[in-house]
Amino acid sequence: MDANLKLRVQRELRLLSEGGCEAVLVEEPVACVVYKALATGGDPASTDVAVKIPDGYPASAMDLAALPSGSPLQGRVAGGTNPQGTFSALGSDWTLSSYHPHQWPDNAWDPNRHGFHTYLTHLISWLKRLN
Amino acid sequence: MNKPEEKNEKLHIFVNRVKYDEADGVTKRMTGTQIAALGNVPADNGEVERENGPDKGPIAMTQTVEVKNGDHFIATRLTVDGGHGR
Repeated sequence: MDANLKLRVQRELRLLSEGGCEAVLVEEPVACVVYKALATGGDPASTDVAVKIPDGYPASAMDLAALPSGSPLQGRVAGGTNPQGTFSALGSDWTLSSYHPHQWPDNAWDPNRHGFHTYLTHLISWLKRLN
Repeated sequence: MNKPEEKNEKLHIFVNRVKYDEADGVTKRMTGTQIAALGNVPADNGEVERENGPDKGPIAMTQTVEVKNGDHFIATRLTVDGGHGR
């Protein structure tokens, strides 16, 4: 992973740590961030969520969100019934959901304001508003 | 004689685990709408909750609340769509 990219993501994760959220940078085999033990609006009451670091980040926005494969929440989160593939990280398999918060008209990607720290906002809503 | 150390910490709160301070618009009294905006949650599609203290619980968008250093808030969108909706 490029050193500047790594520094940027680590800085964003430190901002989350300050607020009490644990998130882990994974470099291989797939570059991603795994957010630990996020609260949900269902059962299980908490879950980890993985988000890939896109090619070209931070010029390009992160997209999608992944639950552990087989999660009972998969069919209940927005976009969960339209899976976008799987990948492995931190010894687990993850299933991506069709969730695109930075394509919303009121949430255009701004690399000077947004990052993995602010993406948590969208994950919190995603996990709370289950179908 | 040494002066007592002055505490000069900026007023700050956490919204969705991210710290915001006066430079971001944090003031001693804030509306639900203002807190939601820090978390990039629109007032017309949002909900705010205070996570800590005796006033823990929901905050209406039009409600004004006292903000104390280190308070934690969760701001969420009411409607979350998959695909390319909001």
